[in-house]
Amino acid sequence: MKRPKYRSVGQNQRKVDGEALVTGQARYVDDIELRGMLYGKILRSPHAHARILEIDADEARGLPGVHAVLTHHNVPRIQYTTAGQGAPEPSPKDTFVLDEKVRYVGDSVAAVAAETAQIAEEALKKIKVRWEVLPAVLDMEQAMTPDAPRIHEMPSANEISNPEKNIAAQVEVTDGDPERGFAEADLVVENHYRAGRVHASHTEPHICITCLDEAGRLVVRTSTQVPFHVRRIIAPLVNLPIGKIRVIKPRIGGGFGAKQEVLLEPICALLTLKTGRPVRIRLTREEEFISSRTRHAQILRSKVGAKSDGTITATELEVLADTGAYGSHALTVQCNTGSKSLPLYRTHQYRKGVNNVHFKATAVYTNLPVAGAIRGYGAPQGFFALDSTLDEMAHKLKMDPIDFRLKNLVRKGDSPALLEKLGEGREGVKQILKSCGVRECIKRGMAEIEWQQKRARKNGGVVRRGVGMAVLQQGSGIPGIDMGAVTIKLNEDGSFNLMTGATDLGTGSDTILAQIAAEVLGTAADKCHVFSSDTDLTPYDTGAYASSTTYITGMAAKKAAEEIRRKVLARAVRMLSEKRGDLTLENGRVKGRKKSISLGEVCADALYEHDQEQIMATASHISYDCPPPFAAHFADVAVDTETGQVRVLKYVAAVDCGTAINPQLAEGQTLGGIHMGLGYALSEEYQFDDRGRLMNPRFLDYKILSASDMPEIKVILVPTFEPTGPFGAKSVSEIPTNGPAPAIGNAIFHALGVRLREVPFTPERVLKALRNA
Amino acid sequence: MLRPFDYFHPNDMAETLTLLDQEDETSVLAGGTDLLVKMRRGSIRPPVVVDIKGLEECQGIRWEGDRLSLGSLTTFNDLLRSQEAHKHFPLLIDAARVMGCYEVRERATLGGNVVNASPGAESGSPLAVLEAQVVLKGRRGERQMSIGHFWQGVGKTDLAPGELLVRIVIPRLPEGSRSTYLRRSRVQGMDLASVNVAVVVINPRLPESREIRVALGAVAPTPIRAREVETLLRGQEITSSLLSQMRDKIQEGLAPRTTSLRATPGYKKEMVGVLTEMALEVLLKG
Repeated sequence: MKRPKYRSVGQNQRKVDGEALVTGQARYVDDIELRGMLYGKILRSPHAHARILEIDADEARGLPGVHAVLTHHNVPRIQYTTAGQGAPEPSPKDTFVLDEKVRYVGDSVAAVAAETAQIAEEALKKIKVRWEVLPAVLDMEQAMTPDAPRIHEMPSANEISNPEKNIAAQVEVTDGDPERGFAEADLVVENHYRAGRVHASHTEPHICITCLDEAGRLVVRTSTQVPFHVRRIIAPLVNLPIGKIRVIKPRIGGGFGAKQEVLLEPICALLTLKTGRPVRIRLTREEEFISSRTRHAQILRSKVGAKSDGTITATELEVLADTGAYGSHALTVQCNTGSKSLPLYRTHQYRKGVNNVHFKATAVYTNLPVAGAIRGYGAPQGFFALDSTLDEMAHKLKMDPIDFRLKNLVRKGDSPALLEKLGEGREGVKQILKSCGVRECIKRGMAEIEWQQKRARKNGGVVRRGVGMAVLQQGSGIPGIDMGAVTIKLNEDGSFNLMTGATDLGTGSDTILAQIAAEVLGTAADKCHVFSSDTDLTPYDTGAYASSTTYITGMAAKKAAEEIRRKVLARAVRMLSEKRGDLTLENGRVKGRKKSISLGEVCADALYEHDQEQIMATASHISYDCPPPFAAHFADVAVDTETGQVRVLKYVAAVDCGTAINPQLAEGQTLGGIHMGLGYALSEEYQFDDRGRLMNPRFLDYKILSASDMPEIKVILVPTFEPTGPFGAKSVSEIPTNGPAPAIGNAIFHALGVRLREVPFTPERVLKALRNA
Repeated sequence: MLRPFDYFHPNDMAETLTLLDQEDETSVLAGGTDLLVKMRRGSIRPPVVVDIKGLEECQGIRWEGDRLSLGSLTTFNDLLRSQEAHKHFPLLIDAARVMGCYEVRERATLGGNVVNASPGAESGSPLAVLEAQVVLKGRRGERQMSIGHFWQGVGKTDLAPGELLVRIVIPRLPEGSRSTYLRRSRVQGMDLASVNVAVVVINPRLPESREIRVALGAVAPTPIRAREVETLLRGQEITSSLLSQMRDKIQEGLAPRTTSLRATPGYKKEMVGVLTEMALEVLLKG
C-alpha cells in the first residue's frame, strides 16, 4: 500500500508539556494554594461491615480550627455511582456520599474541614461512633450463598442486579450454538483461573480542591480523567445546576483508570458549600490503596473446543468477579472481559456461519475495597484465562501454539458477532474489522524472540528456560457512546490554541492532538498551544478512558483543523488572488503558484482588515466503529525449580496500533503497559487479614517492579491503516497490559510442563504447582 | 504525619552523650531511613531527636590490629566504596549491594541497621556470621559485646538509655577464607529480604580443616547462627547426601512468624537450606 507522506504525524515530536514536566514547572492540583483554604480529612471505617448506631461529632466541631464536620446526618441522601461514565452510567447506583452503614474497612464515615491538616486529623479522633458490627463476607465465592450477609439491603437499591444475593451486576450472552460446538469438538479443554486484586499505582494520589468563585459558582480543581462526568455526577449531590459548577483538570500525575472515578469531589464540594471556604482533600498513599479503586479480582472458567486439525469449534468464559463494597464499573468491566478476549478468535470455520460463543459474568459484592476501572478494564483477566486455555489446547493437539492461534485468529473483513450483542453494559454495535495486522505482529515478534530456536531448546537442571506468547486485542473508544470535541482558534503569529476536554494524564494525548492538528494545518506541532481541560472553557469530552483519546478526540481535532484550513484558504484566495486549487499549506504559510503568505498574516487580515472574524472552529466526533489494536507478546523466562523464582529475561511486544501518530509515545505506552502487566503477573497482590483489613497498603509491602526488575523489552510497531481513525490511527494505551500474564504463564508451562492458573506467579505458587504436578 | 519534636545537632561526643543522658525518650538520627519512616507512620513519637551526623568517632573504616573497625555512621555506599570490605568481607558487599536503592544506601548507616534490629536486616546475618562486636559508649564509659548478644528480639537491643553505638568491629578472617550473602526477595529492586543467609568458609580448599559458618536472617526474632549445621559440615567432604542432611537440619527448630507478608514460614524454612547450598556451591568452587 502506498502510504501518504506526513510531516507531523508519525514523527517523534517532543512532548508539548515535556519541558514543564521535567523542570518541575507543571502545576498539579497540589501546587495550587488558595487564600483561606481548609484541609479536609475523611474518617475511615475500622470495620468491614457495620451500622452506625450513633455518631457524635460535637467535640470535633468544638475543636478550635475546625470549620465543619459532615456525617450521614447532614449530607443529602442521594444514591449515585462513583463510576465516571457517560449518562446514564451503566453502574449500579449504590453509593451515598456518607451512609449510616459502612461496607469495608476504609469506607467513609465522616469528613472534617479544618485550618490545618493536623487539626483535621485531631478532629477525626474526636468523632465518637457507636457501632453495630455486622457479619462480613470477604470471599466472592461465598457472597452469593444464602447465609451470606446482605451488603446492600435498602429496598431503594436501584439498578443493583440482585441485592438479596449480593449480585451487583450480571450479563450473559450466547452466540450461535456453543453446546453443539463443544459436542462436535474432538477435544475440549476447560479450567479455572484466578486473577488477584491489584492497585493502579499512579504516582499522584487523588486530590481535589473546591472553592466558590465571585459569582458563587462552585469551582472544582481535581485530578481526574473525566472532568465533564465529574460536573454532571456531583450536580445533584451538591444540589447545584450543572451550569453553576466548573471543573478544572490541571496537570495529572497518572491515573490508569483509577481517576475515572468521582471519589473526593462530592464531599470536598459539600465542605466548601458548608463553610464558604476553599477545601482541599488529598488521599494518603494508604488511603489510596484502601479507599480508591482496584482491579476486579476474578475467578474465570475458560472452555475451548477444537477439532483435531486445530479448528476451534466453540469458546466459553464464565466469570465471577469481586466488585468489593460498591459496584463501580461492575457491569462494564465484566462485559469487557468477554468482549475483548473472545472475539479475537473465529469459532465458525469448521461449520460456516455458526459462531459458537458463550459468555457469562457475575459481579458480586464483598466487604472489601472497591474495584473499578484500571487500564485494560477486565481484558487482562479475560486474556489470562482464554489465552492460557488456547496454549493448553495447542499442547494437547501437539500443535505449535502459534500455528494453532494463526489457524483461528480473526481477519480483516470479519464481523465478530459477539460484539453486536455485548457492548458497554448494553447491546453492542456491529463491527467489521477494517485493519488487522495481527499476523504481521506474530511474524515479527517470533523473529525477534527467536521462537523456533527457543522452543526447541533442551531443558534440564535447576533453572529451566521457556518461551511463551499471547495474542491480544483491545478497542478504540466505546462505539456509539464516546464523543470528543475540540476547538481551535488562530492567532496573529500563526500559532493556534487547541482547547479540548480530553485529559492528558501522562499519556501524551496533548502532544498527539497537537500533531494531528499541525498535520492538517501544515504547521509545526509546537505552534499548537494545547489547553486541557476546563468545563467552562473547553468543549465536552467523555474523558481519558477506553483507549479513546487518539482515536475519538484525535478525529475531532482533525475535523476542527480541517474547518480552520477551509477558512484560511478562503481568505488566502482573495489575499493572494490565486485559485483555491493552487493553494497549499506548508511550514506555516499558504503557498500559491506565485506568492505566499503566512498564517499570521491571514489571521491579521481576519481580525483587523477585511470582513472581520475570529478564525476558529469546533468539531465533535463519535464513532460507531471500535477498531481493535492487535498485539503479539512473547516472553523468554528462566524458572528456578528450587526457589520458584520466575525471571523474565526478554520480552517482545509487537503491536498494530494503525498509524502511530508519535512512535516514541506509542512505544512508551507499550513499555508502561508491560510494566503494569509484569507486576500483575509476578508480584502485585492485595493481602487481607481475616477481618478484611488490607495488610500491605504501602509500596514497602505491595511490590510493583522496579527498574532493576525489568527485563530487556523490545517493542515493535507494526503499521496498518485504520480508515476510520485519524491518519489511520487506532488505540495503543491499554492493550499492552493484557499480555504479560498469559505470555509468562505460557512460557512457564514451556519451561516446566506445569500450568499456573493464578496470578501473580509468586515463587511459592510456582513451587506448589511443581509439587502438585 | 510528623509530630513536633526538639532537634539537636551536637558537635562532639561529649555533648551527644550529655544530651542522650539528660533527655528521656530520645531518638538518635543517623541516616534517618528507618527513623523518619517510623515517625511519619506514628509508630514512634520521640519528643527529642539527636542528630549524630558528622560525629567523628562514629566514622571511618580502619584496622585496629586484627579487627576491622567500622564507624556506626558508615553508610552502605561507604561500604561499597571500601577496598577493605571488598577484599576481606565480600559478603558485606553482597549485602550492601541489594540494600534499598542507591539513594537509601547513600543515607542508611550500618549502625542504624544494627540498632534497628530487624530480623531480616541486610547487615544482620553477615555481621552474625562474622562474629562482629559492637562498641557502645555512654557517659559512664564504653563497653563491647558480641553482636549476637546485642540483639535481643525484633527491634530490641541491649543498648542502655543514654548509650550510643559508636563502632562495629569485625575480626579478620584467616587468609583464603571466602564468604557470601544470598537472599530471597519478592522483587529485585527496593525490597526487604524475605529470608537471607550469610556463609563463611575458612580453609575452603582443605576439607579436613575446613570450617563453615552459616547465619540466617528473617527466620527468627534476630539473625541467628545455624550452629548444628556448622557442626554437621565441619571438616566434611561436601556430598549430595550431606547437603540433603544439611537442608533437613537447618530447618530444625525454626519457627518463622506466620504474619510475614513477604513469605510463608514453610517457604522461608525451605529457602534457608536452598540458599545455603547455593552459597556453598559458589564458595567451594575451584
